[in-house]
Amino acid sequence: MMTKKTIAMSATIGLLLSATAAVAEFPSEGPIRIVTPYGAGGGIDIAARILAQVGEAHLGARVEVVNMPGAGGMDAANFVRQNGDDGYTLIISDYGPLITLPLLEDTPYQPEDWVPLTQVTEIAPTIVARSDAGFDDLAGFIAAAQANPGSVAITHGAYLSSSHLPLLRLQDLAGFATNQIPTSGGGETVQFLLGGTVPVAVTTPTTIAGAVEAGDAVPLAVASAERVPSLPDTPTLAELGHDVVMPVWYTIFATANVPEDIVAHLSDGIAAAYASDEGQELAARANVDARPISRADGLQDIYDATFETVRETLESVN
Amino acid sequence: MPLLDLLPLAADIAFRPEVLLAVLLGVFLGVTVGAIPGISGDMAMAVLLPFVFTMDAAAAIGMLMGIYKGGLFGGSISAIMFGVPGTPGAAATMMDGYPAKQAGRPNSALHTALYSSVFGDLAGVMVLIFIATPLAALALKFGPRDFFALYIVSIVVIASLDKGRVVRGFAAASIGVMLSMIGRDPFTGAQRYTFGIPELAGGIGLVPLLIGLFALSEIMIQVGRSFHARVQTEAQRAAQVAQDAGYDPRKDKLSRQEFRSLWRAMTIGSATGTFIGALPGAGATLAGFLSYALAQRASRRPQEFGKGCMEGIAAPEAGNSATAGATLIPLFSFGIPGSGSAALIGAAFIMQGITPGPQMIEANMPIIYAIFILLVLGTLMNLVVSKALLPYYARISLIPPRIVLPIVVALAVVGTYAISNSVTDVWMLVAAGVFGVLMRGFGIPIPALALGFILGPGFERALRQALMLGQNDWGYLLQSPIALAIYATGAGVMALFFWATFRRGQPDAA
Repeated sequence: MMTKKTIAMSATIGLLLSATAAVAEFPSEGPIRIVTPYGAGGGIDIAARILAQVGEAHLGARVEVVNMPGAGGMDAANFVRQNGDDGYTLIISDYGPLITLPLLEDTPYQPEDWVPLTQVTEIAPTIVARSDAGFDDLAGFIAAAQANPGSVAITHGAYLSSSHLPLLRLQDLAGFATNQIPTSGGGETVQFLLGGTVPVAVTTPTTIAGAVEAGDAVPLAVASAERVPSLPDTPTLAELGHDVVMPVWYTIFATANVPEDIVAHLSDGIAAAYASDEGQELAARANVDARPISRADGLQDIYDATFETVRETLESVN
Repeated sequence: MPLLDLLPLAADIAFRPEVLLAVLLGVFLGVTVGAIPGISGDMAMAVLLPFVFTMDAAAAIGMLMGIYKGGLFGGSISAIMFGVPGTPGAAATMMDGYPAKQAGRPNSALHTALYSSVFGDLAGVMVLIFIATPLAALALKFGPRDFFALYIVSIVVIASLDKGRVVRGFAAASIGVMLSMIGRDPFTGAQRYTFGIPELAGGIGLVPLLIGLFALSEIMIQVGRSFHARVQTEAQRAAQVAQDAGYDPRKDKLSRQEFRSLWRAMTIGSATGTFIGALPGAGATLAGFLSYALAQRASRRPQEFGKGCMEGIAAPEAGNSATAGATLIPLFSFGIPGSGSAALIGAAFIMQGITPGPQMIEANMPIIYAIFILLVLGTLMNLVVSKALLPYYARISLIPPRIVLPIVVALAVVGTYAISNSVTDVWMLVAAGVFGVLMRGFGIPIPALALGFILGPGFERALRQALMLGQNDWGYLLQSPIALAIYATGAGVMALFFWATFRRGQPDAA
């Protein structure tokens, strides 16, 4: 005879079993699609393709990369938002399409619609001066800009990009103004710096490594929490007393509707794939500094902190 | 990187079976489509663009360049055999090629065309290899106002040179620039000229636009009028003429001595084609006609031209093929595609994550040098493949377009969709196709519009950057020796061509 209690118990056990079954079942069908908001061949695409090579052993399903460039990343994000609730369709992105864009305009998704699974790598925006700029540290640059507001020209990639926002935040906090020249990206930013068009630029460490080594450019500061391995002598902005910690991350996200156990499975599996010997070897070959951070390592806090900093910075602009 | 360290790396990339196979396939495909009147190498490249996307950079670019080279030669096969140039670039080859065929020397004519084509092509590639890197190093010194000068001169030169239709060319280039501005403001990210249509927020896609304009519009027109009938009649007429002439294969051999007499014509053609090819906007057709005219002037027997003389085939054929390598010079050095074909190659680079521009060579040295190796190999493959298949190629021209065209349409639609999984792009493809039909109907040059569209963003960016740097002083644009030199060169080139055009009367009648 079954009492109400036993029924309740068996129901609970049944629920537990089915919950475990859900984890055991995921992924019951393949493949897992990683959508990138940009074209093939860029940094994010390469980071995703590493997972496509090594992911199956750690996730239990084949991983496919789908490039969906368009509308500044909105197309890809919207596609994953609509099709990703089962956990089989994920997005890899920097914060531009997922945080900056929704804060600037009316997007069909919001920053809280995303659950960060694993951060693949981090790139520090770097302020760099040409060696004949007349200053070789950040204080010198700020003093030159303050002496003649709006006259020091600086290239920084696209408007409100992840190279531009740290500059805006620094200008706001330190109180100076420059003549900001947007460019088509890292290549043009560095060309105008080294070709003599502008004395200062904001770019990534890899794009200026050659010029720094040759003595043509001097890195002034990096906008990450810690110093960058490839530029060990360059201080962080925080060390210099400026609260500008705005590294660019490449992170893989699921939508917020994916069940928690599947999120945990994906987060750990993706981190393990990048951390594996094979993953590290592929990453080294592709020049990606893969240092995976999973949810268990506190990824949600990084995402929330980025959101707050970007929001504050954009508010200071408008 | 020193060249000695670089070459083994580049060779590693180039000498892989799948890469070599891709180039071989490209050459074969190029000659084939070139030989079919109505389907040009540009069209084949446009349709295949989405499919080379998954290949690696060396294989992708090598294959597209193979198509381009092959197409330039293939076009002369039908020009010689049937008096119908398979591609516009072969129009000049027809002037002596078809008479030679009618005079009972089709085999000599085809071989002359092949050897001169390979010779001219090699010359163009060599100049590219030796000049692109130093030019790119120079371009690294360019600032925004210098790029602005380069863009505006390129657009003006391209617009005015296209088949002498100056006003229409300029209108087309301007429409192209305006179309490129639809979408987002590159400096503020704000939407503009989208008329509230969300699908336009991402701008007009380069690939659907190129496929639509170059390939789909041509197909739409051909489906409308039965192109097939004309080729068939031409073929029958040609066969009849050959029979009447009492064709004797034994008498139709290109002797070594005769080939040596073509040296001067081939050199003139190669030099002309390389120079013309390197200039933005002046393509294979102009190179062919100009080489023909110059070779005739320099010939010991100018009266033979037009009656089927081999010199009259060698010069334009070397000339149009020399443009293949040379057209990549402005693309590799400055990121400016000088022709429709170079625009397609540029699009393929972008899809491979390599942005054409002054930084391109330095940032991708091994791949660029691998591509150089493949360009030379592709030329040799063209020689071997075409020599072996020459007897069969003449028959390829007879494949009716009604069999080929539906395949091309299907590839165009599937390929466009595959690039960014976007249905919007397919609609843009169809719209671009219809627009292309209208443009062809009104005689508005399509390459000028495509180049305006491709150069538009750089043109706008350089102008706005320069004005910001000059604090809105337009005089800043002129305060650079590099910019002034570019304006002066542009004016010189324009003057040279207008002078040549007026002296020759109608420049590109075909």
